Amino acid sequence: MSSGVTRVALSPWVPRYFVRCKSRTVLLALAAALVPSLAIAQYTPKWQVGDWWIVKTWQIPSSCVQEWTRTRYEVAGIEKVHHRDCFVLVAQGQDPMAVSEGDKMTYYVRADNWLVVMLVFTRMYDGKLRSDTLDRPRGMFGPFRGGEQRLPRFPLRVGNFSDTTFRLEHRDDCAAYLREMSGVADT
Amino acid sequence: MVKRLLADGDAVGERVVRPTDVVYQVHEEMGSGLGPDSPHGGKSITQSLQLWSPDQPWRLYEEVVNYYGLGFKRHVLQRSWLVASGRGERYAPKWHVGDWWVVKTWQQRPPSGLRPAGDLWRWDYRRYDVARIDKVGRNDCYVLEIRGDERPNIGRDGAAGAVLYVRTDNWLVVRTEEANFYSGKRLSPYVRDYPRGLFGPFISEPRLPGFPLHIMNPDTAFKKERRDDCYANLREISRPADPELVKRLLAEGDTAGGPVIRPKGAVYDVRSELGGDYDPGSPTGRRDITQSHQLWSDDLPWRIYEERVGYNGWYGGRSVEERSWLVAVGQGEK
Repeated sequence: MSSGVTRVALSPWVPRYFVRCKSRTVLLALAAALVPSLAIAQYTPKWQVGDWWIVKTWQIPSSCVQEWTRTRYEVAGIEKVHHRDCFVLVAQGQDPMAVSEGDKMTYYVRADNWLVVMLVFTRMYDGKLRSDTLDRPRGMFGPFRGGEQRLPRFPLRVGNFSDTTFRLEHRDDCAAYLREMSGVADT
Repeated sequence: MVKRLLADGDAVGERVVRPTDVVYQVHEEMGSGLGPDSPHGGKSITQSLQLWSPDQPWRLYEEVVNYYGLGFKRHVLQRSWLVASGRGERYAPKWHVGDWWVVKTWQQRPPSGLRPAGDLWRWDYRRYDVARIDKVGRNDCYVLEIRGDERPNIGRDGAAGAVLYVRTDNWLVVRTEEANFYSGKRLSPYVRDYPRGLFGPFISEPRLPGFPLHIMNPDTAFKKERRDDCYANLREISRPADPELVKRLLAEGDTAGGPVIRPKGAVYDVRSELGGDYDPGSPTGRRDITQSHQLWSDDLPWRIYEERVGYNGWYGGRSVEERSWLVAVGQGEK
């Protein structure tokens, strides 16, 4: 088959252009030209102390969960956890009817690899603020709910589909079959 | 795909953030029943689809979906959208000695039997100069001189009509000096000290917001606060400004006396409100409210726009009493 680019229908996270050619040099040049994301594959978010954002979330309502919620996040500082620099990310619900003053979740996100290694729940109980800490030295990764943030493994390996199989990975609290794939989105 | 998923987020509540840069999609997946005893390729998959963009600190979108069983029936558990973000939330204007600016104000004159009925409104110009930094008590204060005229071209010559002492740490006005004339002769100014500071949307006051701004503060209830001269029910709500609103309000300022200043930096929308307390039994929606609606920008020393509005709770009336725009800024003598 001659060198060229064939558009193939794959699952949405697979690049839409599949390159076949005999020459490795030509292949690399074509890949760089056609998939510019490869050149900037090492994406990580850029946070500074003082950054903030608001997220609105819809979720299946239940007796203890509202259908629509708003959460404010703030990068409150940088602190050492397990001898590593961590962003201190504070999340607070925005609905005063559902959230007591002082309720918050504090995530300690490693500044080098973005793993959440500690989570502190602060809640109002009987008029007093109480904190519960989850210490997770291996990091909280994977698409888990229940207060987790499901941060991808930064830096993203954009366009790297060399291994898309599930892999058994060990967290501090469980083992899970996980995989992660990233690409440039279709706007 | 990005366009469609973000448009879904606009359907309820505020408009969601749009990217200005490339967007990355990330699929995080967890499979259950994927061990060697599950030859059919798994019983269910939990997937988090996320969209990230380098111009934002957090993902623009996430959906968490469960795919169940061999037929992979799809069940959406949650969807979330980024609705606002900011860098350096602790916004306060930056003043230096020598900074000056001019504000034009369209304001209602007090009623008078001597004035024709159609002559209630007038344009007024004020020049502000950051003259020096002085101590009031133990606190460093910007000394802000104010000179007024009916023309925009105001120099710094002559004594100031009023002087404000604004604390450099929290921007509270703690002293005012007002020019004092008697029989055409200038006497010592009237000096008034306000240890607690002047705050709130009061007429004849500078109405500076509580700097640094607490943007998107979830506490939007009125709070009874003690000033030196009174108690007042106050609240202040600030958020990133809607660009369309900024464009419209500034365009309205161009209509008389020349163009107004346009911001180049981020713009913050601040609503400082005084809740009427004449009738404590009034339902919330029927209180009288005096509001100062202001727009501040990262790159400018003074608000680019302000309107002072009175809302009459019982009759539902709204009256705009004053509107002002920033028309000139500079450093050193003009």
